[in-house]
Amino acid sequence: MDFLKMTEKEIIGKIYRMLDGELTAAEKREIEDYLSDHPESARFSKEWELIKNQMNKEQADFVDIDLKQEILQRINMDTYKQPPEKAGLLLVQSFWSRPAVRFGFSFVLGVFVGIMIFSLFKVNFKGDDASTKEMKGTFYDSRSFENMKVADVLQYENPLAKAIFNVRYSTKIVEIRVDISSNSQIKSTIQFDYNDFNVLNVHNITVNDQSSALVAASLIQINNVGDNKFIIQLYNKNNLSHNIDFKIYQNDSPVYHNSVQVNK
Amino acid sequence: MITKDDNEVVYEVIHGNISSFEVLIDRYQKTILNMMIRMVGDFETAKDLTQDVFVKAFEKMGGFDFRFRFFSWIYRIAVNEAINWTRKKPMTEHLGNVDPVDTGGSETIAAEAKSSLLRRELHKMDADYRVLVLLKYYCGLSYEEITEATHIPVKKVRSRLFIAREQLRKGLISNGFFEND
Repeated sequence: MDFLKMTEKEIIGKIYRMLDGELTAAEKREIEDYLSDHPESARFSKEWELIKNQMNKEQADFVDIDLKQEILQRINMDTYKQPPEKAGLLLVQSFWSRPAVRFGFSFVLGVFVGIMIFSLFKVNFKGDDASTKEMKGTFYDSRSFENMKVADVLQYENPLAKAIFNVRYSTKIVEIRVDISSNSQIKSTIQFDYNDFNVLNVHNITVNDQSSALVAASLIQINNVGDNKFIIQLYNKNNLSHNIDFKIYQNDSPVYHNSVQVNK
Repeated sequence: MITKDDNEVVYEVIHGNISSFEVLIDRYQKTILNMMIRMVGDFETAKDLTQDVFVKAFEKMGGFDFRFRFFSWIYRIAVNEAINWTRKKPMTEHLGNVDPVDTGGSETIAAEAKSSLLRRELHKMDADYRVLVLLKYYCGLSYEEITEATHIPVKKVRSRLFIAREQLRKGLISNGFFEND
């Protein structure tokens, strides 16, 4: 730091930052050296330190009374009206209430069923036996995931936890296949802007009793122990490009953070 | 036992386990009450405002945005409540007279006088500045956390805090706060 080039305001700013513990050890030493040669600044530093000490003393004298009962009485939980749930089912319902969506879905379903019937006949026309390969998959596998565009495949691995987030998208739908395993409790969050996405579905594909997925307006949180698989579907409200954040926490400390862009 | 983080508790409340709200009261009532005491200068008013904060938080919880942290959300409600109140009722009504620091008395008296003087100088400040000092030094928030709680950009938080601290220091100097130190 070149103190000669700094204004008085900048030097005071540095002193505040030093007293607030925001400087590195090297920066702190430089300021201390400066203060030893500048008694006016040193006096300022001492004064603010005294103010801070007084504030700390006040914190120790904080009033500690329990207002819980009074607050709960005022809230009157018996008459409490559940706030509208933003994610999941309600959004799916509002989605379905649109005639265009219902018509569109019926049309797509019709085409899908038609293709299925055609495929079955096609197999018979050939006279082939339907192999297990051709019959593979669950309801989820039969969806259009394979035809969606690949946004990214995020992978995280350490000795205690492993996670894969396979993110694909179409114009309207984002599908995230989560494959997560850990020996102990870990938490993973998938965050997005609720102005951009609705949560359509969170499917527990193979999920044990100790693990769960929580859904909120702009967040899906997976609490995981063991090996689990989830399929998450988001509805892109405006067909635009958006980012989705993926985080993993171990013992409440973040160990992984990455972001995926969809509708690139 | 894993302690649930605030947002998990909020999620539980929103999804029907409303008794979980007590956990949030336990976690934040002390800090908010003491911030209120220093904002409004009167214990009974601070108590009422603190209750208002939690009642409002409970009522608005359905609209909680999980991208943010609960503490910044509830501090924001608290800050708004306190500032609205101070705009309606000037602070000075609730402050008794505080004598300048008695440097000749015992240490306890001097300490008490210093404490009163600090409170008085804080209360002299504009509420918008005072709240930043309280969030920084009484609630222990970082600049970024203050930004989250007040929606004031970090740069502005830094510059306003700079002004607030200078006001506070100069006010204390003129009242003999640093004499004998």
